[in-house]
Amino acid sequence: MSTIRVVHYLNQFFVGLGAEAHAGTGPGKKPGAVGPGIALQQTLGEGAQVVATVYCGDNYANERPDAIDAILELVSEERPDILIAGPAFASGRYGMVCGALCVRAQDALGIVAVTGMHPDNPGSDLYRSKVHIARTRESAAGMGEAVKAMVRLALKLYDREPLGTPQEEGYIPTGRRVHFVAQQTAAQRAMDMLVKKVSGQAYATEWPAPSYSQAQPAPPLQDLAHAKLALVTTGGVVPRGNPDRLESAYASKWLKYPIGDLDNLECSDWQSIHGGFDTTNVNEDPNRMAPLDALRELEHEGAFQDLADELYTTTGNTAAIPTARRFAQEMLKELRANDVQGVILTSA
Amino acid sequence: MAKEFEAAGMPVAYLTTLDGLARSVGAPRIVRGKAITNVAGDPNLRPSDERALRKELINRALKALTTPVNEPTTFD
Repeated sequence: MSTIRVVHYLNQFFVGLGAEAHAGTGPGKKPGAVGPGIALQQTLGEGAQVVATVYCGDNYANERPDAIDAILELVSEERPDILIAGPAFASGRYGMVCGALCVRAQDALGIVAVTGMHPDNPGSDLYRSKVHIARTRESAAGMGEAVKAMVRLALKLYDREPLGTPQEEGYIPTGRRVHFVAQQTAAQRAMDMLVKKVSGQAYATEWPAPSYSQAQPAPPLQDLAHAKLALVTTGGVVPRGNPDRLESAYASKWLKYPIGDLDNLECSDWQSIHGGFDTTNVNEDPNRMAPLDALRELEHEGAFQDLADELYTTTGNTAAIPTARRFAQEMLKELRANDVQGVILTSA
Repeated sequence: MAKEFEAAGMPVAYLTTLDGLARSVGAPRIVRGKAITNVAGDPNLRPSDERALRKELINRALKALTTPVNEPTTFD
């Protein structure tokens, strides 16, 4: 069997050029294994050889739109079977490059590509569904175990051996679902977990609760009496008949409708097309979802200066978080352009 | 969406009946609504009482917008 050809990618620091002062270094290549590549070569053993180390400064690689292509070209010249990138640990810029490069190597070169990161690395969230990322510690103190995990993953993928679970194999969950027949029923497994939990023993959940990043709250409004507010809803409130075909679930868009001349939302003119709850009560009185009448009353009483002339609306039902984020960013541009300083957001 | 607005510096009073969910995902300013099918109303009330309830909810939202918060906070 011929030797498996491996190319290793490193940033400017790990390839030995220097730290931040050298982050602007362009793509380059050295023959054989360099720096952490020495341990990589040892772990790979005799069946695989690190034929070259490709490197680039983290700033250069993140700032230049053509950088990944240039790095990929250097990788491609070596005709590798496997690309190992990093590990990047918790370093965000390095992780972004490792993730992007591995995806391109898989897609464009059709080779096995593996990287390693701490789960908090922003590159992990972005690339874990597209490339296998060995789960590492936050810093290079975890280099030894990270290299072992990356090599194990890469060789298994190269040999087309099926991978075990993320826990068994040490990679960050990719989001793929793999079916298998469990030895015990769900009820038995749940009871085992419960007994272990109440008796203080360690147990492993089969479905970890998702954890969400914390948002830095905005400062409060200093002068409400002179503030302009906007009404935003994810309750699927639209003009009756839904002229713009807002989806009742998995919304692909958000919409805005003029409400500047209205004192409330009449049920003859408005409705909710939300598919995730019984809309009877809202369709009887759409102010129950988008409370324009109360906002208008308080505006007239001078509680705040002004309500934006448009209702911003979408359907929150089964919305994916990245989609909701995009909607919010798009709305923000319009809200800012209209001098809106605060938002009333309603949902089911 | 509330978190995205807030992180960009735009305070948001988030009116939702699922306030526990809103807290767990980290929305900073939460106002607990009446029910999932009528977050800002109550069909069992007389119309004038329902209007008063809705105004009360918006007043809480205005209170939320003018109050500094460091973590998910429910305004009752």
